Amino acid sequence: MSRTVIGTEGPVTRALRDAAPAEASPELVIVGLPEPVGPVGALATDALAALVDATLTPALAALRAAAAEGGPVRVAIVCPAGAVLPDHRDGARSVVGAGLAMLAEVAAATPGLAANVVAAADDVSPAEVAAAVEFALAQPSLNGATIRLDGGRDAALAAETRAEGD
Amino acid sequence: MSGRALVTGGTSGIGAAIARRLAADGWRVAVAGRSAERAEAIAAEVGGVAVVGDVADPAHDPVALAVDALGGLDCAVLNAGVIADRDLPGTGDDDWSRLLAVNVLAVHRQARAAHPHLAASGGSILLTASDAGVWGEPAIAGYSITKRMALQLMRCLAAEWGPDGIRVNALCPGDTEPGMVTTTAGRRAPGATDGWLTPPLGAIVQAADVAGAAAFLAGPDAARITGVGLLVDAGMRASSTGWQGEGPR
Repeated sequence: MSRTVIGTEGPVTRALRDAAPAEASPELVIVGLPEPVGPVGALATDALAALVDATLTPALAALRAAAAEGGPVRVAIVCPAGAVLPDHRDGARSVVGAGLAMLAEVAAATPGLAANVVAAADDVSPAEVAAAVEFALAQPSLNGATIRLDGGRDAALAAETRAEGD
Repeated sequence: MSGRALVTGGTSGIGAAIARRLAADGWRVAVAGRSAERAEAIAAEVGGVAVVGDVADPAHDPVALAVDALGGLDCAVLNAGVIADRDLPGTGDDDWSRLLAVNVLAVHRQARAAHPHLAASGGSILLTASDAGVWGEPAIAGYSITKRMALQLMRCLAAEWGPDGIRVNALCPGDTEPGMVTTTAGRRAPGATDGWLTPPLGAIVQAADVAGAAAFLAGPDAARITGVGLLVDAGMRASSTGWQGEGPR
């Protein structure tokens, strides 16, 4: 079995489809990078549901099917950086991304699956995201981990954020 | 504290305990749930009002009903939740739809409905998430996913609505008695805690413990606390082996 790539369409998805599998073992890559829709409190609940339906629900179905077949399958889920440390200005994607991250975590503890997360900021190049996915898929002991690709932006509270209220 | 609170899922387990505790602290409480009989019983017990309906039904607006009955709102305790005892391969489409509808979408809808009322009163929102949203449990995979989403929703709303004077926090209970484990049909007999792992503190969390944390987060002593997911789990998530503890030494 080769690599299967599903999810939201875009340059990251295309880069991952174009890349040759590093391993012969089955691989499933799920890209959950929908277009930004803004703060979640300003979003209608139906719109949030649609965002989930377009990203998280098919991801869950794909992992459920892979688990039901017994594996072994190595999985990488690509989601927005806000899945880890939320960005309230991009809150809807942060909420859905958090669901994708937890999906990977429970998948990592599911027999037959090994799953990791690549949480990428929007300004990271598709090639760099693809390289992180390759790494996540290739490391046998990497399971249930999150690789943050944000250039360290969320490593500590930004000074300008603290200063906003001063 | 005299305030006006809505408690969804307020007819059993943690929700009923929160309704009782807030009422004991002087709050007027709207007790919301699907069962009219239970909602009216708890409401009568706490001197509050009953709000009947399914939070997952978009046509049901428990916030509006509570505001009408109480004359405003100071705290929305969005506690209603459902669970599915399913691992990842066992989580069916129907399971996922229901988990999502109740644990995430209903919370989002009711938080948005509460926003103008809480902005007017300087009030707060309190979600009931779960320790399973902090550290996932593969045996309840879909539940864990939706509770992680609820926690992230809480953080986003805390930042987004902080400038409106609204605080947003969450409770993350561990196994609680009475709670979801003992009040959900098909799980365990009411009150039965056999087989539960003993947390580091050596005693299973009681619903009243969670209600105490809720009263704190809803009250004036938490006036500068927002964006917090508070674990009330007797240490179950403190260590990777803590939840396999064998009780007090």
